[in-house]
Amino acid sequence: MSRFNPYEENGGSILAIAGQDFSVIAGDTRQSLNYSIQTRYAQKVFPLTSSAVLAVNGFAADGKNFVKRVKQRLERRMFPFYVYNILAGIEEDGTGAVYSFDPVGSYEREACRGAGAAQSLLQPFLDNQIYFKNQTLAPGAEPFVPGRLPLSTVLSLVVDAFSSATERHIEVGDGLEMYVVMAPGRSADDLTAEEAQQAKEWPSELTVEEMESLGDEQEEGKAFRVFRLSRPLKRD
Amino acid sequence: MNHHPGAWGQTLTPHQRFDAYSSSAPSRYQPSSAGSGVVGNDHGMYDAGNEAVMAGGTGVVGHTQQPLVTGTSVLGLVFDGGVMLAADNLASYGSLARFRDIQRLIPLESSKHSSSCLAVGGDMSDFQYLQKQLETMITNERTQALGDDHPSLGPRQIYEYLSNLMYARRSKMDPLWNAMLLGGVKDGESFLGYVDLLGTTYTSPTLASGFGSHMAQPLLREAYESRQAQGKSGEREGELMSRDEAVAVLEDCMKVLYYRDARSMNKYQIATITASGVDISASKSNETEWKFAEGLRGYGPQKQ
Repeated sequence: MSRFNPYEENGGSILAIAGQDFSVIAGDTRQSLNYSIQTRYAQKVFPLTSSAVLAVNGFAADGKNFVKRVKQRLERRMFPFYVYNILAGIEEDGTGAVYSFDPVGSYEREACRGAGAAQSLLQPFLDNQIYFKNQTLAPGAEPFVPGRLPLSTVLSLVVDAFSSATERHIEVGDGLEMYVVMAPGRSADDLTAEEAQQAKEWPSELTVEEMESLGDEQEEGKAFRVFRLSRPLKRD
Repeated sequence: MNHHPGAWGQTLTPHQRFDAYSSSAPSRYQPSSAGSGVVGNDHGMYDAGNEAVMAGGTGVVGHTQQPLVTGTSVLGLVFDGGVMLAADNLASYGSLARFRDIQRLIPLESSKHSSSCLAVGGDMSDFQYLQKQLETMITNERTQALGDDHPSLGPRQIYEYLSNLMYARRSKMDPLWNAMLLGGVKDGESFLGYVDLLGTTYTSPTLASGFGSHMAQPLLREAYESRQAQGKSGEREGELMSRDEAVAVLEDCMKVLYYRDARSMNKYQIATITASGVDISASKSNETEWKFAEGLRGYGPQKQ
């Protein structure tokens, strides 16, 4: 007789991109099992502190309990949580950082990472757009350096990545939730100014709100800022 | 196992050796010193090396590895005055319709601030254990709430307890084989959530477990969303279903399930959870129409 299988795959995808003095981390809000949508809104991206946001994807029950325990600073080795994690925030030197993890704890700092059901759709797109893979330099042009794209470009890349994944992967869709973490002293005008939001590049139907204090003490004038951005994705 | 003195020292046939109730199992918390009595490990987590011990032989800890007497799908729906849950009255023994008058809706904490109700599918003995566990916890909490300003349990608190319990049991590789919906109202706010044997949880304005997630959930979502969109930008936009509309759509879903789910029965109850408490209807049934079956060709003995 088959043994009880304590794991399940609940679909969905997450993604993060680091900029020079900011990072963007996103996830869709669909939770599914095989061909059934369990709910159209389940959170995958969790602000932990004012300078770090965690995205969790894989087995939803483990994901929820993992975040619960991270918040209590516990660790676990045997009987791993079947979850892929991406942590995005600001490094101590003020640069945008993305760390990706696998279920057994291997981790790496990267400029960008996609994970989850649509990893195979997201990552090649990011490799091309963030790491400039398979792109050739125009004669006399500036060399490509990953991790220096402006925030507006990064935002439209994330939206495009998720709307494309929604088109081609049945487990991705319903809604997109993004968090932007900004280094202290960085202007948020490219996110909040009327002018930025009117620009051609600005993604449609995007709502922006600044997160209130995330519980940790911040020095006056040297505060990190976290913004929550959300937008609908196709529901079919 | 045969404990009769006449059987002592006798070699047993494989059939006689089969010990369905693990009658020689030691206490799970006191591993026997003899032999391979590895029943737990120091970090308290599942150890693959224990598999042989768990799978058979002596020193076995018996876990529910399959459901036996089961209830089928349960449904849930948010309406304008609260939440409704539905479940039929059948507890099946495999494909046998064994117990035909079982209530699978249980009213929980009900006070002037909140009311909650649980609808359960899956293994019925695990359900009875769960019910006892929940009622004990709720009674303890209520006792405390009597004296000072200890907060009373709302649906979200009961749901959190239930989710943690289910997740802890799956993590022990000893799950409670159920899929449940918890519906409730607290301070005018409706709550509807799902929990199952894996500790998977989610909330949504319409929910269905098991077979119902395939057959009823689309009908529930359609009813819910068309009501939300009705008179778009008109007066009724964003409104929820009325009590009567909710009952009608649940009755329709129960009928569809009765037609197609072979583990269902045309006898069910609907629980209505509102600010004024939990009302569980008397058992009811739907009018059905089977004449179409006469016209079916290709499944039975008919020739074209």
